[in-house]
Amino acid sequence: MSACLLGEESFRQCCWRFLKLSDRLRDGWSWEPLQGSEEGYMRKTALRSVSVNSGPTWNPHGSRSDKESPASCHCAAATEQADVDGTHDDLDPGYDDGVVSGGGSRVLRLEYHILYSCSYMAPVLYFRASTLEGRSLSLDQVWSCVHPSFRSRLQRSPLTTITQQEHPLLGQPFFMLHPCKTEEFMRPVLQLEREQHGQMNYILTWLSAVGPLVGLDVPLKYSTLQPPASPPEACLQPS
Amino acid sequence: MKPLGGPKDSRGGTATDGDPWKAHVLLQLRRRDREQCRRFRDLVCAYSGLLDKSGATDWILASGRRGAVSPSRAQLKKAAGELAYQVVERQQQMKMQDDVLEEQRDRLLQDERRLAGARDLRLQLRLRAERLGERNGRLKAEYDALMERQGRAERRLREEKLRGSGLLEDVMALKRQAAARLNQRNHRRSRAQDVNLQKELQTAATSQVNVDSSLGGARWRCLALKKKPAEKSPAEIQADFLLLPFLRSAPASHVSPRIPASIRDLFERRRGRSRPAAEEEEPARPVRVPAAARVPGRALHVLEAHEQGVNAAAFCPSSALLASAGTDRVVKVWQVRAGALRHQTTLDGSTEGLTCVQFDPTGHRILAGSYDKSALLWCLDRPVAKLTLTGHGRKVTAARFSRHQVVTGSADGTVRMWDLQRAACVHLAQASSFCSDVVCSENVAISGHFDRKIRLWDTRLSSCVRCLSAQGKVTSLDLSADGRHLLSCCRDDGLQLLDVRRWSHRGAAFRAEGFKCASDSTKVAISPDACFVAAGSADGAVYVWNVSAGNLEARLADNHSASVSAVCWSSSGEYAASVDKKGRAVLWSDL
Amino acid sequence: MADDKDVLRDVWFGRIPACFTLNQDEETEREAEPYYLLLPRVSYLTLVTDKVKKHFLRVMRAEDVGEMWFEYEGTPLKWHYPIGVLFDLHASNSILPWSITVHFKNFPGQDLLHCMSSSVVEAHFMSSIKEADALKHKSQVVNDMQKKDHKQLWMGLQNDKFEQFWAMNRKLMEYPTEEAGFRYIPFRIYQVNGTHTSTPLILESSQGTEKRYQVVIHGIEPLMETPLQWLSEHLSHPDNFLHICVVPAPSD
Repeated sequence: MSACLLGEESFRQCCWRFLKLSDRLRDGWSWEPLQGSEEGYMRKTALRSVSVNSGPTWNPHGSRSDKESPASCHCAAATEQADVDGTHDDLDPGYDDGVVSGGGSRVLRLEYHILYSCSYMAPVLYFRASTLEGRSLSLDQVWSCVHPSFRSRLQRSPLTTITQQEHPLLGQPFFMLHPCKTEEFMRPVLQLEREQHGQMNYILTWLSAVGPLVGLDVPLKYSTLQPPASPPEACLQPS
Repeated sequence: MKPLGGPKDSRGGTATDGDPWKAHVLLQLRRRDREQCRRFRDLVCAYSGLLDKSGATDWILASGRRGAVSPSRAQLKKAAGELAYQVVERQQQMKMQDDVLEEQRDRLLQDERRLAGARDLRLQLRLRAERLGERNGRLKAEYDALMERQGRAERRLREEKLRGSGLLEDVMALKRQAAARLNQRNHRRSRAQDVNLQKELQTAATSQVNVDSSLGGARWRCLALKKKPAEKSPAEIQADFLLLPFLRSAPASHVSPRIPASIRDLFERRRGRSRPAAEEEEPARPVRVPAAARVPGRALHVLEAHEQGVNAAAFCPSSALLASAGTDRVVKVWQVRAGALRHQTTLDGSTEGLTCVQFDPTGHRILAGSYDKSALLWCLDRPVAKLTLTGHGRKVTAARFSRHQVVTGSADGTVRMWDLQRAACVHLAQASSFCSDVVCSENVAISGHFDRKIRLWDTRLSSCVRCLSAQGKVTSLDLSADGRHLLSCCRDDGLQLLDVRRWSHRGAAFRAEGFKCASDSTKVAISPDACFVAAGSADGAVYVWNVSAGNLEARLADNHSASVSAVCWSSSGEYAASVDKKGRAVLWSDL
Repeated sequence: MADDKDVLRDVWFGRIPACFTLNQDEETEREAEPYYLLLPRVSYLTLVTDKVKKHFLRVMRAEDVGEMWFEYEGTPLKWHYPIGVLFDLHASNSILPWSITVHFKNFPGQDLLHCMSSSVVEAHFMSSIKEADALKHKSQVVNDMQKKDHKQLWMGLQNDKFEQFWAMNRKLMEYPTEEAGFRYIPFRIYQVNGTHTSTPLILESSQGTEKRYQVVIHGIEPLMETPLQWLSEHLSHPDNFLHICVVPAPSD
């Protein structure tokens, strides 16, 4: 088996270590077991303010400049706050709502799930977005949230990027970043890591690569925190 | 890579042929389609069609509402009519469908009934099969019992047979003992007779009688043959007497050559006493056969008698007939007339070549031995064999008349005596050596053998009375007319004369330069008066010796081109005949 | 083998009679007639219901028309499941034709994926094929195919062209001779109460007790000894997955 693929057990262990870091950083990731089975997924909910284009079709060139700054603003704020007052993300919405809605844009409630795909032997990022009132966003609306610098590139082959899919465990419609290219882009990273004998977390590396596409930022602290945390867990990680 | 639909499943699955799971899948799919799809296909199609139509009416209605009302009414009516018509049509269709359905239901019912009938039939058949099976079982048991009984019966049969053969052996042993006792008694009696005879002879020899000795011999012979003369009627005897002088040219008569010349002499003498007038023809001379043999010097007639080699020839003692027997399986009878041979008749019936031939004393019957292990008897007037005497194990080399019986010798080493009335073998003598020839005298039979022995048998062949050695394998024997001299021919190329009474060789053998005995069955002849002997040689010449002088009298060459197989002398002594291996016959005389 | 080809044909041409009725809550200009249709089992609802949509739109005002969705006895029907799977899962024991209610408003976004055009179906279909091939051949076969080959697969399904589809699909069903079959068999198992899953499900043996579940593929119950490889090659849906429904056995 190629070392660039991820076994299910390694996936669990990576998630486990990631969650420990998340706990320390109060990043809001949690493990959600599926009732009646051993399966489960990592979950994180976040709020984010964007300017919503309510039209049924989305014009990639029309509103590029509008969305760039609010998105980055919010994320910075969210992490900062988590650091400062130690409260959980779930408590934030009211605050965020108040702040961002005044800026002519909307606050979205984003839910990220990280699942394991045994077909591709890779982690898959599922997410859904809804307004605070509970209205789900359509695929087009989601596309509008993607950073414009990624957008044109991703949209050239829509099949391999964001699509609406049924959540394999929940059976609900989710958006998904297709995992069929995951191995391709992870391979050089992993090889580099191995050459340097670094202790890396597959999930962390992968998430930091794909997360930003859909507005999920992985704080740098995950990596900076890792050295003190890694020694005891190094033995747990299989090659 | 394998193409789709190839036998991949053979690797995936366990079963390759049959594949019940595959058949199951196919069956289920078909059933699914029948239930879910086919039933509804027509319905859905029909419905869509109807829907389209109704859509059209809708459109008409809509357009009617939008446009003028009055013209649309007509249209509406028309549409309604059409629709009504369609309804009727549909109803008709439905009815038809119902009919079809009914029909199918009927058919189904019929099928079910048929199925029930078939089931009943099957049940019946099964019952019948069971009954048959039972019956078969019973039959089998019976059959087994019968088999057992048969086995027991066979065993018993075998035992009975064994017991029967044992009984048969006992009976045979008893019979053998009885026969031995009888033989012993006979033997004793004959010995006593012999002793008596001897005594009588001695007394006769010692008594000085002036009467010439042949008379005594004749009397003795008369004693020995007392039966035969008694049987003959005086008339016959008279006929004999009358015809004897004319033997040379007379037609067939009943004179027996077996009556030795001495006896004939005796008769003549008596007759001469009673009828002296007859003496003009043939003066009574002691021990002389009236027809003195003449030395053959000239070939009267040379002819190709047979298609293949001639093995034997014989003159008729009572008429001018010559018989020749050959490898071509037939006996040919020739008339000797005016120094020539004329074919009279051919006798066939043998399946193999013939070895010897002889006339009976009456000249009516001919006897021949055959390679087919039998002897054949013909009557002259019928070309088909009257009797076939079978019993020898190998070819019959000699066959001679002896009174009313026949004696045969065979290559199987036995000499048999046959009763012609019953055509059965009455006596059998084992000589244990190839028998080449047999001659018969009054009460003896003499046989020549390849073991260089000449054996003398009594007439019942019960025992070998005398035995004499020869110089070689004996090929043939001949007896002089008076029965006193026996001529034998051996493979050492010599002929020898034997005095039967003394049972000793009379002087040296007859040999000649150039004479060579050609085969194991070369037949030689002694003249009726015992003055000459003749034999055929391998070089095709006939040699004639003078008995009293012991020298070669004549050598008759140039007429045979092959080795001579047999020579014979007519009873009158006038003619001699020789036959050779190429089928030629030559008639000789002295002229 | 003729049998195998027949199986493929029967699978492809499987049809379900369906009766589409408009939801009573929809506002119409006049009463809407029901619409009957034979649905191909291997296709997707949104791909074959253009006529249904057209039929019902006739009686509707354009302003009332939202995204069309379907429902059966209160359950929204997920278009991204093959039609046959939907039927086997929800309605296999009901009376035919299958009665489907058509909605044009209140789209249940929590339950159903949006499908605004056939390209979405295409994306879903191709994604399935890719995933299946990832399992079967580590994506090698599907990646070796050209764009037009992918198109041929899709057009074959869209236009119900058996030969066209299988001419290409057979490549996806091949495997190296030296191996006994696919690397993994792509399959999904569906249960009425839960969701579909790709993890194996151990069926309790029905020996002794009454049979409680039916294992249904394409509306039939194959024998349990049927080789999985053969099943995958012949009873897979066009998306190359073996869709297996586990439904309660009929109570009678």
